[in-house]
Amino acid sequence: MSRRWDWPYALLVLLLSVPAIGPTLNPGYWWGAHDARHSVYFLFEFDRAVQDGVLWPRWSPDFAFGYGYPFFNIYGPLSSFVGEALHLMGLSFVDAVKVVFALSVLASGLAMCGFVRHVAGPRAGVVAGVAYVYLPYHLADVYVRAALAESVALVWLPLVFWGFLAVSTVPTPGRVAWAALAYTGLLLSHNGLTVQATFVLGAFVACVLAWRSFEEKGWPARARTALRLGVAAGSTLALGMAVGGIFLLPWVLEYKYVRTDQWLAGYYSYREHFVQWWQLFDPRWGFGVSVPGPDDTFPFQLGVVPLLLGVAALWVPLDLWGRRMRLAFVALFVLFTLLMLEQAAPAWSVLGPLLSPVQFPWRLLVFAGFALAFLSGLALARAPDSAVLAASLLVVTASYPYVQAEIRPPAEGPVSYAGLMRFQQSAGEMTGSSIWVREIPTWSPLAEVWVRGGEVTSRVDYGALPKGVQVASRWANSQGELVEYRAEHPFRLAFNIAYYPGWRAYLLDPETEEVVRPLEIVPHGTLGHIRVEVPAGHHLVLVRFEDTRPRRVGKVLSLVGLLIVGALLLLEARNRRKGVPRR
Amino acid sequence: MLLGVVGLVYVAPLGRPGFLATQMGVLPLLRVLGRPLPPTTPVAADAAWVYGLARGLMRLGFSPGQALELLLVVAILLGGAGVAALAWQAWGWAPGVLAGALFFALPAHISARFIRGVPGEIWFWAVVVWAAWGASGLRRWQRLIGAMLAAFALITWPTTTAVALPLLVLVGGGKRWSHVHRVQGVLGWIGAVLVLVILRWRSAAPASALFPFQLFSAAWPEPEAWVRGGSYQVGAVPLLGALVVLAQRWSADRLRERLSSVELGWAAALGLLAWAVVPWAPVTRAASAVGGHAFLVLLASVVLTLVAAQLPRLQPALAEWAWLSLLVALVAWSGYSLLTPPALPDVPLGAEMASFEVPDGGPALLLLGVEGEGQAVAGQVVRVKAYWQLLQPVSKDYTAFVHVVAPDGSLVAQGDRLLLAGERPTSGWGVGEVVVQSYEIALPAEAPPGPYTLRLGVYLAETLERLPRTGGGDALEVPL
Repeated sequence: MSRRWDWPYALLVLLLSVPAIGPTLNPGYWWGAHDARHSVYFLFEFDRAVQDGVLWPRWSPDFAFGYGYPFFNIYGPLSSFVGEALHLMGLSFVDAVKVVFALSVLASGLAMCGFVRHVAGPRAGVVAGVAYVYLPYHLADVYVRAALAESVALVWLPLVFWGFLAVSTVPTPGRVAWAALAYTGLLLSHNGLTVQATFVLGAFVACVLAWRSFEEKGWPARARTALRLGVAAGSTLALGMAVGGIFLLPWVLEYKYVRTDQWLAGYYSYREHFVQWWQLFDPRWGFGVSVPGPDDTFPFQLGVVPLLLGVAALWVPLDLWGRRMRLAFVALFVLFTLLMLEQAAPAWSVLGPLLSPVQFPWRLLVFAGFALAFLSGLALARAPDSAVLAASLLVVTASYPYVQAEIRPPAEGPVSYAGLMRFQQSAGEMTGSSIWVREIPTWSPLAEVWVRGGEVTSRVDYGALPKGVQVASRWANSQGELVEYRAEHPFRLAFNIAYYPGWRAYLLDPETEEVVRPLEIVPHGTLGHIRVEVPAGHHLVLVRFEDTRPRRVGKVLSLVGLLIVGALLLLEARNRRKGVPRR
Repeated sequence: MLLGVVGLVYVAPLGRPGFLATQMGVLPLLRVLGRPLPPTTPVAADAAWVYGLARGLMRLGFSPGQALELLLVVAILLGGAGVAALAWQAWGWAPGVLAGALFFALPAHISARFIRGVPGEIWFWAVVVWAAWGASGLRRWQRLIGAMLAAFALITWPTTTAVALPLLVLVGGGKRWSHVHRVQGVLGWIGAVLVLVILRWRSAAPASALFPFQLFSAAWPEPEAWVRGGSYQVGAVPLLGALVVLAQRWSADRLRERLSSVELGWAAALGLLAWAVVPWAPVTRAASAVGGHAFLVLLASVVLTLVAAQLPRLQPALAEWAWLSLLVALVAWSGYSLLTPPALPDVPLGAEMASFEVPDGGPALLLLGVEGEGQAVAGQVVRVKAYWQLLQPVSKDYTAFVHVVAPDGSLVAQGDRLLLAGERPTSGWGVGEVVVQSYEIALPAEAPPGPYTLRLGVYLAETLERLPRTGGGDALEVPL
């Protein structure tokens, strides 16, 4: 486990990964891919909030035909943060998304290379890194699914395992800090994947702790080692969660306020999307979707070259830790491959709460592929450089026919509010709702305005105003609105905004714009819109999406977590300077 | 295990629900079910014991398709293992593993499995390679097994075994033949060829030669045109591998060893391929006597496989695990993209079927079954689905007549339609292609009362001449 980074090997991985991002360098975008439009419009919505001065967006104002949805409160925002940074640098939304895809592919290869290098040396790292990039599922993730969040998560997965392996064997302050940051990266990239990854990680760390402690002589020493390393790994996990607290805490505590039946039932029920065993070896490539039965036009193949290299790894002579890691990753591969198959349906029934967020059993190809790429690397751990190069080229060549994207113009027109509305209408997507919504909208007056080429300047429901009331919007943005009104009687002021915790309303003085008193928000109607009781007279009403207690506590947690990470890194630097030996 | 995984990848298409759509269509299923088949089809002449085994599996609860596919899986895996065993025995484990992988990925064998689709042909290779393994064995018990398998193969597939077995023993014999003068082996092979030259007179049907480019063409049918395609490619990987081995052999200055299995293999492969492509060769006609050009190409491919498998023997570095794994992965990948056979549609294999004969050509169109839907009463519409299969290429576009006949024999209604597979008339159908054609027939309100009979047959629209039904008559009649 050399500390020296072998740059030529890393450079080789990077160079060999370049063909995998070829389609991102083409003009145009694979608009027909499953989540291609989602990825662009998620960024579009993220940008709306950032442009309004929100540094950590949670509310997406134009979901559900303009009624809004707390999308980034429950969905890992990291890919959007990266995309937004690129957009602010001048890239269009589409180009920014393409660059994030490309960066994620390149970074994932390097991350895998680093992890496997840590376990079995640089040669194994090269093959594993290239195999990880060119896994058929990884390419399908980018060009068939256009799953931006998962693609970014694939960068962090090896880093998390690398970090926790390092912490569970020889913990140092620096390792704890980096492993925690990697975990945070995974969490902020794809929270659903993080749930499963955490359980896998837990089992992995338990194995490592057991192996590591059994290197000691006598049970007391073993128990001490297991405890010491277990505390280190547990603290790392806790620190990672703390750093990601700004997202984790609201997600965990406020997820119950969104409807999930839309995404977990019907077509999305896992029961309809098991893989048949032969599909794991089926060379057919397609851009279609997963359907019940064997006629899927989406590729589920493992990749014949990584598979055979993975099998070959079983006979490669390795050192003790190499053999242990091989055992762990063979188990991971076998377990997750079996869990994808129809025959695993009883296990899914038992593990339903844990596995059902996966939606589609074939998404476990993430873990099976991760393990396969790791094992592919081990196959070449003791091979000469020439064999490593040949293996890497074979991996690239075997998957090269799959490096293709269906570049086409957007069916809904250029990226715009109108395009977003048309997309929502045609696909029934980005129509997420809170639990106060009883009827999922299929169109809205706001959408109508946008599609007709107009601009929505206020979300006040003017149609619901009583006669004689004068209402005018002073300003409106993605996170709220200030409304001035004159009324002779108290009345109910309704907004075309779906209610979700965090929306607050205030009565303001019309002259000074100072808060007079808060107003109670009552979700009303089948669409669960915001409605406030306002007094008679001339007043201002401010409705605004604010932080709830979990969000505030989450922010503090993240701040504290980052301070601890900083302190640990400083400590590591000091230890290195002083030459403090590692235990 | 590495070889086992390659085998698993290559039998995976058989795991797909539904029976393989090959050039045999549903004929193998019909044979398992014991239905009479037109005698001109290869399935009718196929090894009876294969179908007997399938019937045995049916008693265990398998459907005919599952039983046949299970037997195919076993035959494919046995074939790969047999070639591996043959090469392993001759040259060591690394050539053995490589030979097995090469065999699984041979385009010519994949074509036999998934395009031609005669189950006995796949079993032939499984038996004959193990017979060759036994015959080349150094141990008595092994030779006994070889002799038994060889005898079994000769009885079941006499001509193909007569050609393939001596050749495989000679090329893959290894140690068994190292102490026998090679010239004897060569003379033996020449003798076998002469026997086959004589066999040409047994073949009445002239065989047309292949075009040389077909041996090297990478063209492979798309799944939607699977049975209309076909391939005679030798396979780039075994060919190039064998070339490298040949170059290695000739670069070594060891003349004494030159007349070995490498040169013999190349001579045999070139001879077989020439046999397949040279139209003026007197032996070309005999190709059909030994199973056709596809057999010649496949045998040449297997021989080249045995030659190419010696690469780790001549380059010891390639016998190291990392390089060998890479070679096996390369080989497995080389044929991977060919594994896209489609599945047959669900065909009701009822007892009622009929074959129709083209003039001077024998049975050409098989009516596999008929399904009716709707009430067959006056004033109603009856929907009929007819399942057709082409048995041999036809040059004309035929029309199907579908008549509803009253009990008194009068015609109540009819729904004649050009037989179409999508937009392709029968002249564009592929042999083995199963075509489902739907008809909607409105029964007039004033029609005499039923029960009615459905009468189906085929005719040529230009002449209104009906094709005769094998066994007499010109239509199939089924109660509606």
